[in-house]
Amino acid sequence: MIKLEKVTKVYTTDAGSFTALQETDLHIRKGEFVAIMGPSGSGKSTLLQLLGGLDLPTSGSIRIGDTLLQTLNEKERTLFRRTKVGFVFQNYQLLPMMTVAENIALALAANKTPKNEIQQTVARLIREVNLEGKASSYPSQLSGGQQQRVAIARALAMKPALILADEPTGNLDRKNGEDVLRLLSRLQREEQITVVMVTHDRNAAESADRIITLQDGAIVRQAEWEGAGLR
Amino acid sequence: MNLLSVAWRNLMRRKLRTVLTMLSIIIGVASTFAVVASVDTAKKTFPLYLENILGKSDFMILGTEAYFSEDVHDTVQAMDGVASVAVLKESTKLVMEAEGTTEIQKRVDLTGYSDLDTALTDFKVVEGSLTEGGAVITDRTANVWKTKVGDTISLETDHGIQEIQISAIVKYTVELMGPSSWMMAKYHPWSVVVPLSDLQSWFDLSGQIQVIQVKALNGSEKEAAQRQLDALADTQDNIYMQPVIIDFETQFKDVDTFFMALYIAGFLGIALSAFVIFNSLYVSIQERKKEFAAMKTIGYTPNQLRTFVLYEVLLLSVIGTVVGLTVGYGLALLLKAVIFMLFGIHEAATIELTKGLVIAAAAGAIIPVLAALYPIRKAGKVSVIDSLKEIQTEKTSLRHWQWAAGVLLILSGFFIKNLFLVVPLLIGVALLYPYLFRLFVTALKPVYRALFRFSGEVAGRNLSRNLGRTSMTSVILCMGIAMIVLMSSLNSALIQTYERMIFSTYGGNLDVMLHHVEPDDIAKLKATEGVADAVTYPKQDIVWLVDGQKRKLPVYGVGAEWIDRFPLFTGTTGASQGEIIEQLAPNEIVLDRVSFQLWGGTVGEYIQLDTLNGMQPFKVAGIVDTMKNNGFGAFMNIEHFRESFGVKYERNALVLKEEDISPLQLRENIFGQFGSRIMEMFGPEDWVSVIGSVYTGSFGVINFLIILSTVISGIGITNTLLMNIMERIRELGMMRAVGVTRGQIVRTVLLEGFGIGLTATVIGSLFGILLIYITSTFLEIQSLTFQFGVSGTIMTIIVIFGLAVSLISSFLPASRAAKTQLSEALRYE
Repeated sequence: MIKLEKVTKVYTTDAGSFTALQETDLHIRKGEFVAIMGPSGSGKSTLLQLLGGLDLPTSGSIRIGDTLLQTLNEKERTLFRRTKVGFVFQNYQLLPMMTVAENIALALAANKTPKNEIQQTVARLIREVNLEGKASSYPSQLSGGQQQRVAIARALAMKPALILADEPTGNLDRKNGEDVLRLLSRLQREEQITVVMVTHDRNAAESADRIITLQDGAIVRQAEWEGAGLR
Repeated sequence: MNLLSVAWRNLMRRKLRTVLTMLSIIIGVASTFAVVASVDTAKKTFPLYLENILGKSDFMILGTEAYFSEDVHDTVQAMDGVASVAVLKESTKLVMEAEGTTEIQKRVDLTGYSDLDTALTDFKVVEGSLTEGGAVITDRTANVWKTKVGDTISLETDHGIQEIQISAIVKYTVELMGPSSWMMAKYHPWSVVVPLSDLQSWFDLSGQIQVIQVKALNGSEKEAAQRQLDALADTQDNIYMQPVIIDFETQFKDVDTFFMALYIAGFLGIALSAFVIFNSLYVSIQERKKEFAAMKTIGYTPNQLRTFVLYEVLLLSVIGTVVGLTVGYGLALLLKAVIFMLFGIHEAATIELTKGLVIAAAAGAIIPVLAALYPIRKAGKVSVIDSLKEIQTEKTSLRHWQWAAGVLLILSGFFIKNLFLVVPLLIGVALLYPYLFRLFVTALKPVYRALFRFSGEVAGRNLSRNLGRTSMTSVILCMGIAMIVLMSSLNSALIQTYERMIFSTYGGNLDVMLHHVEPDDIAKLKATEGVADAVTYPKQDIVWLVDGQKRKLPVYGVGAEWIDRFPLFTGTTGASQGEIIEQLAPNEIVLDRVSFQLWGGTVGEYIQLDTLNGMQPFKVAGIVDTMKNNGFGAFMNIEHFRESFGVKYERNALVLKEEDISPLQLRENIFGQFGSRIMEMFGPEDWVSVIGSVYTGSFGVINFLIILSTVISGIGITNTLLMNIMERIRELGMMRAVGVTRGQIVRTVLLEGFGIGLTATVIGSLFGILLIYITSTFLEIQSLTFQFGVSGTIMTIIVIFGLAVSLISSFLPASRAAKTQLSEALRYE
């Protein structure tokens, strides 16, 4: 479903140029849960941003489903993100002046979805992430775990094929973190959504089907679960 | 550690915000400097100018008939301690080929002086010589005629066409007032000076003159000169002496009101910049809370932290003030030129800079510091634990005292009968504004949602965030809008009031001034095509005593039998004009409202007027309203007028036109009858046009300054939106990540800025209408009050202006928001 071929990303700064990813090849199957690990500066976030169409590679190609990302212009990539990709951030990034229901409906509203359809979708997602009774609450009234579940519900609103999660458990305690990971795993299994998660947490990574380790902009190791262990 | 260097680097972290904040200081300082300097210059120059044009002579000898003998001048010249010049005036026509011009545009007022090169004329020669015996014209006239020294001009006289060489071109002066173009010559005749003897011979007036201007050579000998002239007048029954009175207050009525309005408009800029500075500093402190917290953990005291911020404010104010003073100098020169032009002052006065410089520099230094006091205090009070744990401090709710103080201040404005009422009213509205803003935004949200859907929804929500900052930004524009509404409406209302008064007290459709009215002139005038009726009247500037001081009072001789058809005033007691004049005894007079207020007496008391028999008391029998002579004068029964002041000839005729003739055609017909004998010919529409242009010009200057202040509000909106974007950069990144397009982000920011401006424009317009209402209850200009009224056209233009300012101010922040680098935004700290 996701295919990266010889993808390179070079950033140019005042201090000179810096290669965040070098000639990376990667194939992720539909419905697979992949964790990306590595030290700071290894290129994890860059990889996630490229997969989400937030940025374009300096060279190489990225194909998601039937779509070749670098052939899309900026607006097309935005619309692609809206309908095909869901983002989950470490800091949740909820809009503080909107309720839980309104935050979940953000992409639907941007897409001019009819009101009744929005209401039905939001109600379903609230049930799915176990936040019944919280629809009218504001983010400041929720715990970290609850806020992250809102963020996940928001990411699912447009029924994306791909969820990109950047340190989704980074700001959560162990229990809440486990809850979030269980939710992501369930969605991946039940809805066949491909999940790519960047994480520092080894325990979190073990929820994934495959762990990819990056170092200095290159994939240095890939390990899949086989039986009870990683191979 | 160099505090200035640290302060500079901190300011440079947010370059655009620093530039915008500094710009608001620059505009505020510049407008303050410009207003104080130009008004100071005007206040100093106007009396000197008047002195210069009217004070060239101390006395005048005038005749009771149209002319008197030149022998009188010989006698005056023989007196000790005086200088004098004899003057004769006639009107004629220029004989000149000028394409597209009519006869009326070639009218010339000729003035013959017995001596052209004297302190009594004080002509400033540009080219040529005053002693060559030729004609003298101004530089303005020479420019239009395209003539130079040595050229010959031809004039129609009683002895046919006479040619005379131009011997001097002099600087434009009030004595030689003339049009600036052939087009304007339709309304004003040209002025040419010639030797007295030439004028006498051309018009068969040998040995005849009209006026002798006399000046005491030594100031201390003025009384002696007056005694000699009085004695001379006593020996002859056809001449009288009048001292030259320089009446500044009458000449420049209501100039103080104009200057006061200018001051308010000028200081508005620096006051509004205080809001911008406060907002900017406040957000800057909020952004750097963690830095201050970290510095506190190292060991910095609160005062040391405050000093850091204070240096930033001082840098802003010093640079802003220096640049502002430079810009202000240019603005002061421009403003001075405009003020002088408005009041018809042709004087190249040097600009008075000192007071303006001191006040503007002080304002530029002090006001930013005052505005920044609260944020500076906050910088020292940063809580280390709260900041490092990112604990949000509690939202401050609106304080009840603020609401109460605001209402009280607004109510106080109803009791202040002075233009300074705007100060407590503005402060009151500023205090109430957060409440009003919140109310308005609550009403706006559903409209935004319905019209703009997603973008409208988000923009509506964003307007309610950072309420303090946003409402403070909005109130700046609100105040500017309110002041523009007040000034524009005042302008329109005053002109309408003037128009009504001028038309109702002009005395007809035309006032024709001849050199002097001859016995068969009235019959000729009535027989002119288009004239329905005509009447002549005498008018004289009489010396009167007010509080022991000599002033000039224009007195009109009026007939009871014709005043109702040719009304020169309106009564205040319900009696008709004819009834008022008929009831006047020989020593009774009615004063118009302005002169009555100037006098300060009551009806039934006496004023002292200079008559043939010296100062005589006249009973003030009543008050009337008039716009004749710009609304200043007195009226007497025509028979008593002639007896008291001995003037045996008249110069003015009032004309009523037939219905089917246009004003211009009437003038052409009358000019066809009387030709160059006509010295002036004005209708009420001419005065309306003059008054209208003066007042529109004056208010235009005030509105220009207020609009300059409104630019500050635009800067404030831009600054606030940029700060909002900076704070919400991660949100923006997230929104783009979930699929909100750049276009939707741009629309959201534009709608937020538009909402700030819309609130300000609506509340500001309502506030402005309140100001109009309150000022209509007390404001008098030239004793005219104006009725409360709101012009739809003016309001529409102002609303469009306010909305345009807010929209334009939102473009840059919207563009910034759209250009946010997503990857950076999502990692933004």
